[in-house]
Amino acid sequence: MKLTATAAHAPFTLPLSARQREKLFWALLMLLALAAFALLLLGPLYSLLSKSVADGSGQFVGLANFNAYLAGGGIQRGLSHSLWIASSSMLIVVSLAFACAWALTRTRLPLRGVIKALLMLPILAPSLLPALSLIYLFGEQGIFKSWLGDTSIYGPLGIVLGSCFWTFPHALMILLTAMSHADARHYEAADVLRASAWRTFFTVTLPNARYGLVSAAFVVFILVFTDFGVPKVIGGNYEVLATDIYKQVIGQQKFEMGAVISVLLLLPALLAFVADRWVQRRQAASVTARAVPYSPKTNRRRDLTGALLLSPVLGFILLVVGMAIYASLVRYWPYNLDLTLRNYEFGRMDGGGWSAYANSLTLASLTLLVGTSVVFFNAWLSERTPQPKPLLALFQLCSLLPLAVPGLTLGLAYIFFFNHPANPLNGLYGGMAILVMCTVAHFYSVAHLTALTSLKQLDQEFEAVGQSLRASRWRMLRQVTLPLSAPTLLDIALYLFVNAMTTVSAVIFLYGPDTALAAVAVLNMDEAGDTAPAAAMAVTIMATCLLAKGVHCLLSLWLTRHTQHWRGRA
Amino acid sequence: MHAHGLSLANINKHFGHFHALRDIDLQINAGELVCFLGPSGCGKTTLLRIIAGLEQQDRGSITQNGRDISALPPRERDFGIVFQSYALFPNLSVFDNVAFGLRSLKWAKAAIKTRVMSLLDLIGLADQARKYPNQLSGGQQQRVALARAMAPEPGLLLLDEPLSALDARVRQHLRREIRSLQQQLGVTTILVTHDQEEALTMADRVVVMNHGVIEQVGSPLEIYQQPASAFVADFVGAMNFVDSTLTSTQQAQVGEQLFNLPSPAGQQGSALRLAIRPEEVELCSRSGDSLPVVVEQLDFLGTYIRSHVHVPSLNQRLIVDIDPRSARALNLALGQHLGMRLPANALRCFAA
Amino acid sequence: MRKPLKHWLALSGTLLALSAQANTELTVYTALEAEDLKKYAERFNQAHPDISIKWVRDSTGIITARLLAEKDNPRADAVWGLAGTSLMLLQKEGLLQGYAPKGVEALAPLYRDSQNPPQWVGMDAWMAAICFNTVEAKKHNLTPPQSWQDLTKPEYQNHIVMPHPASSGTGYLDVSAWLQTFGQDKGWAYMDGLHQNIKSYTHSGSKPCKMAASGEAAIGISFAFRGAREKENGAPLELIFPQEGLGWEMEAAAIIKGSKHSAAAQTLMDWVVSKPANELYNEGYAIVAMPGVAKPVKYFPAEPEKLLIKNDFAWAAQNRDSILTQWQSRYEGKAEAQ
Repeated sequence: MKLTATAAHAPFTLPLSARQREKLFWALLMLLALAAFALLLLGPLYSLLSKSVADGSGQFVGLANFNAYLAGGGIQRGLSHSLWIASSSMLIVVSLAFACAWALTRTRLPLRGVIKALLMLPILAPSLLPALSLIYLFGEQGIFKSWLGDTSIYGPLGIVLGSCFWTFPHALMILLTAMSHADARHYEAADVLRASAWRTFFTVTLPNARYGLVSAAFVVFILVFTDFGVPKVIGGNYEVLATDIYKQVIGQQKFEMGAVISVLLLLPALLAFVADRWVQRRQAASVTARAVPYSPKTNRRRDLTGALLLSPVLGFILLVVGMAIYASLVRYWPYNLDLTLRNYEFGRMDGGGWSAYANSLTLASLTLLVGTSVVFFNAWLSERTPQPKPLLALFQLCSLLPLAVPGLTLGLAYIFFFNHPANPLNGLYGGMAILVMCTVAHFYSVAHLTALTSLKQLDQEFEAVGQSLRASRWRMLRQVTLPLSAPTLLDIALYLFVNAMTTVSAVIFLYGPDTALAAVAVLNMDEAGDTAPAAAMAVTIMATCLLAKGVHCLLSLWLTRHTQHWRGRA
Repeated sequence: MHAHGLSLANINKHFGHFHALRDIDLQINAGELVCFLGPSGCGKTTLLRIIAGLEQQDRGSITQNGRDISALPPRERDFGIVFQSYALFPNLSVFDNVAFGLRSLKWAKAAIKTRVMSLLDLIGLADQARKYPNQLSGGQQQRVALARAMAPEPGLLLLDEPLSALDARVRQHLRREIRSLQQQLGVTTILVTHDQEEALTMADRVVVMNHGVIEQVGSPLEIYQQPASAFVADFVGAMNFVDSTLTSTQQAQVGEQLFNLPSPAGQQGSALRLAIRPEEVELCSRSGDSLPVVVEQLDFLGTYIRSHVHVPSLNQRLIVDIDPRSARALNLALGQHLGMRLPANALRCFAA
Repeated sequence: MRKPLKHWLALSGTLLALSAQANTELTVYTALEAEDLKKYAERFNQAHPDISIKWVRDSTGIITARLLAEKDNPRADAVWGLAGTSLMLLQKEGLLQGYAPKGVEALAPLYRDSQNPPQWVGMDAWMAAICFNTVEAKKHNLTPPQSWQDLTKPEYQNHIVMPHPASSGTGYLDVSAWLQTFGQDKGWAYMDGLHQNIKSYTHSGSKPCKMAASGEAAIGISFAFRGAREKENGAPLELIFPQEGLGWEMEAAAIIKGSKHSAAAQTLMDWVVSKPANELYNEGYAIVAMPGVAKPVKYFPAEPEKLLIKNDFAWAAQNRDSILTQWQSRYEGKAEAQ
């Protein structure tokens, strides 16, 4: 009897209740986001995979291409070189970055803010800048050529040095975050137990930073393993997988082989990515009680150690940047050292000249606008609206996948996908839109994680309160969530802008007649032998990013001023 | 049947294999303050969120003032809600927080101002209208959250552990304040709490929940004095349990002792748990009609002394609360041998 | 993502519509030197102001790869200034549209496709050369080499750069020329010797000469045109044209099949084979397709044709894969050991 009574009451037997309609609406928006992923990520990757198992005319040939590539010996050589370069760079960068992060967080050195800003400088430059600069420093006509003795900078040494330069800030950022969350109570305990400085370091500092170290190691490894610019410019005869793609596609027009190597490049990166995720998940579980923030006490000896650790790295970074600037101003290295701005007249060189620079600005600005809004909106959708679990899981997978897809792989995949005659969007090929799409997809993950972290920090009950106060989710987004997320939005915008300005690998196969890009121009000018103009363009890009960083700082400052009354940070 | 108030019928909710709520039927009358009380994980918060529409029940219906709201999204229901975390919008001033819901309803500017200021007056924060949440104390923030929830004059006020984040003194103060505000405005209110003291002092009626079912619904006094189950008896206040056997329908045997029961409690020979509150147990000098006990532990708790006594004949420890004056009279001390009486009218019987 | 995308589509659509009304815009793919593009377009526009050229310029490899990648969906209307071998490759893939430009008979037979109508026409020829840095030579006590064989002498060890034949058309041109000049066995033996002296293989054909010009290497195996340009810019270079014969390659032009502006493309081809055009090519190149037009060019030998080998382009194209495979197995394995 009771059962029939309930059935009569049961509302869910109606076709669609108001509540289900609302859920459906948000689920549809999420489906739209997933459709975008299918278009911008999954579709191209599928095209790439299918290309790698087809011959030049499109016939399915199974793993024949892979076999041919393996038989050619390219894999042993390229792969072992890539692995060697990536692991040695990883070791050097992670140890140096750890030393610097230690010095920045555990000492009371003066000017730590300025030092940190200078150490982060390489992130604003295209990865080609250090390679060019190293040629001027240690090349045949380099001012420090004699330091190297008989060793040539063209080869593994140059690649490792160049890679270390541009990946250093990535590792430093991760380690700074990991180490600034130290718990003062651990240090007090060590003090009370009369542990020596070394013992404290090995029992407290190092174990606390271990997840950061692992993460930094993975990030550096993937970046170097898949980087194309540095080995291209300064690799000499030292073949790595990334340059091999270029040789197959550009040198011999063998796209299917390019696809094969792209797939091979994808695998280790994917592996490292999965391993990193696994480690990070364990970390999340190990976080325990609330920590008391650590602030170092004055200690002359420790400060001195910190200074000693920081100065070589700082010196190297300033040297490389300084050399690039100087070289870009010299008339004809090394025979005519007059200073001139001639190298900045890009119109006379390959690569698209100032219009390439203008294109890069357009690309970076569009990536900033489109990327920031899409990334944030999607993160909001996943975090702050009701979503069915399977959709959410799929979305999370898609939004992290780009982290494991090397730029070259993505770029090549885009060609196969978007220039297919059956693709209704093939009109986009070669245009600015496809560059923006590719760049947003390429840098999606980090931006997404930033947005997600910030959204998770907002009170989980805001949406419930908003609902009870009859505010639509849109109004909540506009009046509460967005204002609260403004600093995060600025960070994402800067991240996307800088990366769009400096990226080479993702767009090298994608730019079109009207959309030559500045960072690619650096590569092309160097390839044509115009090293000084290439350096000049690299410096121009860096200056632009520096300017963007400046604007970011001003906006952040303005934001802090205008919001400190409610943020409450005195 | 009930034109006013809130009716829950046959509410069920699963999370995966976990049966979070089981056949919940409940009637809440207009204007009353009802407390959902229970240990964490008992389903009280889930029930609150289902009433708000923040969770969807698997089965069952909710009727508010005669309107079936079971399938409505939260925005189309009629309630205000206050959370433990306050969930004030940090970028909006106190005034704007309280006005937030009124703006959704497109109230006129002047009307909003009047309403917000009168509410702020009511909670004693009229002079803080321009301040931002982080400039207020926890107690002040919770009062703003309350005002914000009340501003659109909702038919139902939901309070989810609203006082748990506050320190004891502020908590006590706010309890009274919320109660008097609720009574002034006459709004039907549901308060979720795990704090029995809070439930007993504030509620018109208490709903005790455990493992997804309602154990008992009743006034604070009923819940305390006539707990419907051993769980309620144990969860609300302190309680001593003694195992016994029925020798007749109205007599139970505990050890060597026989007790007359206040009412018939089952068949002869069946097992029975007798329960008695610590303050109902009487300690006296040893005599023939009392059980011999030994004082093993004494905790001084201010207004009374909690003594733990061992009863050799039952091979059990019991808690006895005793007021300081009686304690002095008995010369209460550790290791002391005393007698104990369990008054029949204070005994509660539960099936074993 | 959807909105900006639509916006861009709409915008580019409008732009296209506008320019189509004004005059014909011809998308021309080229590997000509970046600094020359403006000049080439201006000369053409003196005769045909109604057709504006939209250049897509990149290195030979990239342009060829791009054309192949766009095979099913061509973007280019024409190609003007791309290596003859690349055009032959495109021809094999069926990408070119046959057309006999007015006056094509005036070109030397070697400089036009033998099919009728021809699918491509030649413009000029560029040839291999050795760029020799005199300042660096003095520093390392190097004597100027006179022949290709000289380059295998031990004194040049680690002083020579040349383009990688698998990445650069120029590099492959050198390799195939040596194999044709010296014969298979001697050709490979020669490269074995040369490899001992190579400092590095570059990805681009012009880079060895630029490296020689900037002193990054003493000797660069590249092509004459680049060397002449660098010398003019003030590099301490000497251009050496080895006696055994020079590999060479022609620059050529063609219409891409499927062009939506075939009339304009044909007009361009008519001009490409004209006398004014050949005079234009002669400003940078010593050998041009129309006999009797060429005047001597600074830094080039007086009678350049005589130095050229008889280049069998068909043979070079057919054997490309096998030659490159052998080259890589011989020299890339060793590069690793360094």
